[in-house]
Amino acid sequence: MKDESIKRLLQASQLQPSEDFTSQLMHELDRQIARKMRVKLYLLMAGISVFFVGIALALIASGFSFRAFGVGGALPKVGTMMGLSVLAFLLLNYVSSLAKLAGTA
Amino acid sequence: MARLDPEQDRALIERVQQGDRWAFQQLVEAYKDEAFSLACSIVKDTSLAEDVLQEVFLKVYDKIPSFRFQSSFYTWLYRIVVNRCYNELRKQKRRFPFFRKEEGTIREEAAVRVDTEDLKTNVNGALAQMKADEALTLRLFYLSELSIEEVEEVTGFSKSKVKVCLHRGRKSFAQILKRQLGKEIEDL
Repeated sequence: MKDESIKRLLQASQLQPSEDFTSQLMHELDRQIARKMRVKLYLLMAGISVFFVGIALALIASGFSFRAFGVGGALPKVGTMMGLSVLAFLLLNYVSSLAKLAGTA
Repeated sequence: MARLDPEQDRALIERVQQGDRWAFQQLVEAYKDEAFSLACSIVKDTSLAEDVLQEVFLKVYDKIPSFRFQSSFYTWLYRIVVNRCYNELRKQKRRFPFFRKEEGTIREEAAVRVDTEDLKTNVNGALAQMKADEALTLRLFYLSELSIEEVEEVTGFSKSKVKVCLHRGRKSFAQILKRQLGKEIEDL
């Protein structure tokens, strides 16, 4: 069989995907882009939470340090309690962000 | 839609890199038919080929910001299609080591029966019965009109393997068509 015949036959018999292939693909692309945006948002939220967790831990540590250096009274207690409550709140927030992220990704 | 020339490709790709979705749609329209034919050469199943192609185009959209025009867009795209299809084939073989073989035989018989209907079905039936490497090489060389070097780049085969696949592919393509069409093949 000649090269020209093979070329002609193959070009005349080219396969095509279904008619709505492109529209389905663009729809899937939109979904993928939206999913990525959500993942980025949740990661940002998680990052911010981690930052505040750091601050809360610093507050707790400072409360203990005050006591260690003999500073009594309400100040160390307030520091520790504030730190613990911020930490608890942020941990809850962090867990819910991760749960959402796991559901999306 | 016919394949675009390199300048059109470049203009569209640059627009896609800036986030233009419409330009991406144009690229898909231009390349989906050839890419689909190549995928069918390997996976031999149109619905699976369509799924693979969708994944490939989504990956292309992801990776296109890092495309640096060091090769032509179509060789880059076809390389992704070919790699993805061979991976899928390996996955299918692992999952259904015996089933795929039987399914292939059934499909070949069906193709021979149905293929007297028209030339297009006969040609695609013949390609479906050929080995994936040979059908792929034949389509890249004759349908996509790539040079031997470009076929090497897309498939990752050596030059000698490309030549052997082309030689064997031409031979088995003609034999299968002859078996299906008989003397009619001499008029083609």
